[in-house]
Amino acid sequence: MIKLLILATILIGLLGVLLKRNLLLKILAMDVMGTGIISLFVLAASRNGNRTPTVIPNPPDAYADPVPQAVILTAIVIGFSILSLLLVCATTLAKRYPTLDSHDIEGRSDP
Amino acid sequence: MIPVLAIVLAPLGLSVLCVLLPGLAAALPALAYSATASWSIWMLYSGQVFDFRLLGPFGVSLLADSAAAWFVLANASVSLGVLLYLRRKSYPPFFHSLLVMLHGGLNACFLSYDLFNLYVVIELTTIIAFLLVIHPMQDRHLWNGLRYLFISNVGMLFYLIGAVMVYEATGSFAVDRLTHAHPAAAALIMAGLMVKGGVFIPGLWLPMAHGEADTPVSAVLSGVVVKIGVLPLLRFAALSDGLDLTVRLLGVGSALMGIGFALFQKDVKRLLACSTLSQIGFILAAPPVGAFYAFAHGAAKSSLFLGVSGLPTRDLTKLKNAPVQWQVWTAMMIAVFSVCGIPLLAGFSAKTETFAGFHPWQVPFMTAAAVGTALILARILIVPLKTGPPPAGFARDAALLLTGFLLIPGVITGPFSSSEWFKAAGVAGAGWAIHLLGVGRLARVRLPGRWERLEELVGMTCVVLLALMLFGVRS
Repeated sequence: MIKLLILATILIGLLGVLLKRNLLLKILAMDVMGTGIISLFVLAASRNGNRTPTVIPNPPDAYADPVPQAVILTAIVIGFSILSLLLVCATTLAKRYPTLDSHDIEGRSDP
Repeated sequence: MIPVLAIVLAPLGLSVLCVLLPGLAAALPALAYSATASWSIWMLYSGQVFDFRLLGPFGVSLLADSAAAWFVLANASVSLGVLLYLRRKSYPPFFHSLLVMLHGGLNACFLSYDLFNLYVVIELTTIIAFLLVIHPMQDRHLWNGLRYLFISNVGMLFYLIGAVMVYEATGSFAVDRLTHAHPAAAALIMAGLMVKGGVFIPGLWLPMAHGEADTPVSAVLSGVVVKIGVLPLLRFAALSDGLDLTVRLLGVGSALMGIGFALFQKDVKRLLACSTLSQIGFILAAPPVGAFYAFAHGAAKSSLFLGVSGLPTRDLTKLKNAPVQWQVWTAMMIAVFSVCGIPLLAGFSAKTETFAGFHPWQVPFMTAAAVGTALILARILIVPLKTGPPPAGFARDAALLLTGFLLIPGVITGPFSSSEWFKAAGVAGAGWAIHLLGVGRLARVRLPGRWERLEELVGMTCVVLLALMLFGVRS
């Protein structure tokens, strides 16, 4: 069930990337997609258990898999930096052209 | 193990030094580049293979073999060429610093052998390449960079979905576990790498990105940065017959598609970028021997992109009547000859090896693509010449160095059987003969620009992804 919801999030993000003409919304839609994928990793980590993976004697229940959590942390940071670079770039373009419509910008930067 | 880490970490350290010591920024990178070059030549000479894992069972795994060494050597030759090109130009220290950092990131890409580490270093190089593209900060560069980063990030999101599927199925991110997961995982990962590597339809962002960037940046992008998506695809092809067939099919499609687009280009740099699309296809069409082809293409293509700065005009329709200075022409001619596979150059050895590695069904298509390569590049070859000093934009040292990188491996490895020589001459001659029949006039036809739009590119990537999932990938 949760997996289906996560896949729906990714699809909604992808549709936003494809259908939105506004550059900022396009970029944010891409981030929605990214959020879905992060949740997918978190879900993969909690397959066997939900407890924080710390070492304690006689653990009461199974712990979550630390590997997907650790690696997705890196992916979150990368996704965040790319998002911020894209937004800075988009706002600079919006100031110069001045429009946020991706088709308009594309039409004008054609050589 | 230490030299392998050194060629990744030393460039990253030097990039910091370049900013701290701006006076040395133009000289310091040479240290890192020559270290990389000597390491890769030693690896190729000794034929050693290093396969190791850092920091325990869940750590980073690295693989340095001859395939990686060829890609690393391509990186070193292109970086050295660009460094020489920049010598008399006034680029800020920050630009040099970014180039060294990119060099280290690229080395890391070629050495990584697990899916997640590959993702991290690919994204690192993408971000640095983006900064290099937008560096002049003019409107079209900003748009070009934004488009590049956006499309590659969407591709890498697909890649991540594939990576988590592999982990769920096998409990590891190792590359060789790919075949143990659901075939959809391989399709997703390959789609992401196709976007990065400029392969087939998902690579159509490439002509504009490489064509519009600044000269040295175009040389680095087309020479090595696209290859970060190519080496992993070559490694996947070695895992199973199904994946091998998929990669070969993508290679053939990409080789022919690049030629098709190049016929309609009016701008020299866009023509070269379309030729990159098709050459990537040649690398993938015979995965076991693709690495040497990647090196030959990297050195030749960066030499061509740097040579463009010495041409009187970038417009191909005007170039026919504008005399080109002979030194510039000679540098570009040797690179064009290498790409077309003329004997005694690296491109010839690479092409002979590649053709020997084809399945029988590939041969007619790839021969057509090889004739097409000669045909499209004839337009920068068949131009009027003039004497006199070379134009200020032209860097002779860079051209000499890259020519050396093409000549030496070509002379050492070159097959000397006369049948191969006749075949090469026949293919190139056929292409140039077709050019003389007036195919160059196709450039006056303007292709609709719609297929280069952002949505169209993402949409086409999704379509290719679905096609791969439905019938492309069989493990």
